[in-house]
Amino acid sequence: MTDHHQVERIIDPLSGWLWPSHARLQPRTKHQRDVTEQQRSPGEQRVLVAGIGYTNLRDLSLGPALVTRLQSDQWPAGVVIADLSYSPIDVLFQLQAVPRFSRGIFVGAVPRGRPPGSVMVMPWNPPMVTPDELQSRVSEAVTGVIDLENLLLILDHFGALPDEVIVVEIEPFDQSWGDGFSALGEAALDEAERRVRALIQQVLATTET
Amino acid sequence: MCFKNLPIEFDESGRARLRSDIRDPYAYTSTKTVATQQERIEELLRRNGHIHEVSIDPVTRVAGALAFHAVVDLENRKVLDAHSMATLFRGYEVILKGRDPRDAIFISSRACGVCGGVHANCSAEAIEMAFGTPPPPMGIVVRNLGQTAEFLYDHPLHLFLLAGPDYSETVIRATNPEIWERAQTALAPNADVHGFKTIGEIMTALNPLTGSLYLEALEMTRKAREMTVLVWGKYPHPQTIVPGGISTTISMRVLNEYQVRLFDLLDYSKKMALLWDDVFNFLYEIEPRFRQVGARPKNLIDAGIWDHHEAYDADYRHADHWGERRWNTPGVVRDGELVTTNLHLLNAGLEEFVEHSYYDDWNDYPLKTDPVGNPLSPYHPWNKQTRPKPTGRSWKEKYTWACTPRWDRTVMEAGVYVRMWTTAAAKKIPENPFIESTGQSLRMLVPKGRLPEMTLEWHIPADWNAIERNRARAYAEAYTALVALNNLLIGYELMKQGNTAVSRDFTVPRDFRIGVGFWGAGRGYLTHHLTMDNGVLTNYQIITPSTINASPRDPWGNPGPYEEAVLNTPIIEQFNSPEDFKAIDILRAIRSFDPCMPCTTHVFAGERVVVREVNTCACILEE
Repeated sequence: MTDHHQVERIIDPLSGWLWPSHARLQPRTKHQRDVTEQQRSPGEQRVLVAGIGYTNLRDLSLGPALVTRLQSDQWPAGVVIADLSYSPIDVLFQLQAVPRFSRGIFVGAVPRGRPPGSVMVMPWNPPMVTPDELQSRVSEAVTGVIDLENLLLILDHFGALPDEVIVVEIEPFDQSWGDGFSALGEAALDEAERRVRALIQQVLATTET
Repeated sequence: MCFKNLPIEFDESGRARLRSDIRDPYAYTSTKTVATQQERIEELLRRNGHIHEVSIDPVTRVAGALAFHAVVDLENRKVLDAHSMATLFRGYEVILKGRDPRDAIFISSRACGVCGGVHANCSAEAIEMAFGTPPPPMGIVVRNLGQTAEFLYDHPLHLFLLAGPDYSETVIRATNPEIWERAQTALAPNADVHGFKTIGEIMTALNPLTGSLYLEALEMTRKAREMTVLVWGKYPHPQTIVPGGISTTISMRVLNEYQVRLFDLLDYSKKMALLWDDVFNFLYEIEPRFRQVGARPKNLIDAGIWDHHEAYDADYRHADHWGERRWNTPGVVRDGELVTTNLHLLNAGLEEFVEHSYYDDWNDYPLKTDPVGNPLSPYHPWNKQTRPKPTGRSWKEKYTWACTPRWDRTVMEAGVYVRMWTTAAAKKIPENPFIESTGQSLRMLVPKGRLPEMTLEWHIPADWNAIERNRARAYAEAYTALVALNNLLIGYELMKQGNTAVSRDFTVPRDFRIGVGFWGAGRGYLTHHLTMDNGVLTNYQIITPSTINASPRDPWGNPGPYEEAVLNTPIIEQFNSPEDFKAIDILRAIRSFDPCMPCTTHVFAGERVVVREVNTCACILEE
């Protein structure tokens, strides 16, 4: 360990992002989308692939597990693979401090009563939430709750979501404490990986043309 | 004599010993009054239509799983009964048993994601006491810099994001329109500092999501977290805190970057103290019953925090000395009087009971005394065993996963405000240019930034209630920032001397050892007690502030602090029918403690962490 900042970069989930103090939080709405302090270059495609979930909660940990798989590859500049399994407010600070992403692919296990192991890919359309509900989500965020939907709602409220967002949801089977996944979860992880890789390739192909 | 209830007396030379005239000194008989009281409440509920049960589950704007049950007489505007419930099991004590003690720093840190560094520090202190490895001076200073920064994040979080909305325009208009009416024209005496002309303007700025104070607080939490990351490398759950110090390398550049952010927060702290003063003074004036919201006896406990780099040696035998040289003095306040600042006596008075908690009792009593000969109870954390035993909920018997910590068998309360109180009363703060402990107050000289130099003074309050908890928390921002500034200046000095070592080598002992970390969390008192043998932990016990505050009835039938505060709370809220009742006064009382339940409880194997209906539109792109 030679320098403190090296330590910080190594452990930073978004590959070396520091938190510049000039990036400021402001009240922004969905209609004020051009919010990032540092704007990306015209035509530049920046893709964020994010996994969200708790570790050691079996299939509920599939989001971060997928990120670990993807991070073992070399990706072109502009593609950031990140585990965003921490407070959505901190994620907000991070996203506000860097050029805005054009595409976001957010992956997590979300129990909705679908067939266990199923993988759903969908565009994210913000649900209607009341200010009270949203405030509850912020309270959860600052008090330690890690949750895919909280993250999307909060990033959306403060205008920090990528321009287009795709959500990849995996229906968990085993939600108990422990490492590893159920057989259904394992298969879903493979399937989710295949689809996420295809989505990234689609975006990159669009950029090239 | 600091003990009134425990059978401890002192000899001629001041050494504590058990009274010899009592055959079984720590034995007690559980009271039957709890059952009788519950029968009476049930009868009242059956016979009176205006008496209602209010179940708040979960209590929102607190961290984690807290549920609260109250019985309220809406006609007479009184709370008749109150129960605080921690609804999840924590289990760190079970997880840590049998592990390498070094693991405890990283595992126990996960007890809370809000106080993401306090458990690591507390654990490191317990371990380095067991190992006999004190950190070098710069290691102590850097721990303090990180720990102050963490609290500089935590105080605004509480005051503007969690408890603050209770005093916002949105809430006040909905629950007490007559107060809002007056607030709009009431001038704010400290407008020149915070910039809001009227109390109404402050309340509007406190509105969640849109209010300028709410948004500014979010921004300030970012700066404080940056400071934490600068010195600890990562937050929450720093990997750099180790027994015998810290593993980051500190450079002048790091200290400079820390200082830039600190001065922003010093400025912010001036505004924070004075704007809350304006709001709270207005509320007292307009509605004197606010003095009763969340009121309870002035029985308070704090373990102190932030060691002095020239005093701390991680040796229990000297804890009475280094404890009193901390930047926050440890202490116990009973009925408003400071009765001790000695960590040995604070430790000797601790007990934990499980009469009304989902645990089994234990029979072992391995440690009769501490390392300097002070008597210890069989219910002391060094003797306690964690034996979970979930059962159905019964107000007469067991109803929570929180235990019942008591000091000298008295219901104590923990909080940042206790730190302020004990330090103000003790007059033992290390000599420094910024903070003076007067015996009745803390006088703080906050240096010039964008705002001019300013002296803030927090006084030990005459009343003890929700407002005073929050007011002390507001002044704690300035206090904490000044502790940071003091340590920063010491850090510069040590660097100038070339005294830059931040850690010391250690070996894991194989013989029997004990240790205790005396520390503090964002909401007050924190201790980790451990025993180890053959290189592994044989017992590990954590007492958090929220365990103390959320505790249920004790064996003598005394309610825990949340319960007691709610029982004393008048219903000031305006409502037309029971359906309109929002229980805002009860919630103000509870939230003033800044409950943080993750450290009181945590996930039990097999249970999910978050249970909520999801409502994202599931329009499928491809399947």
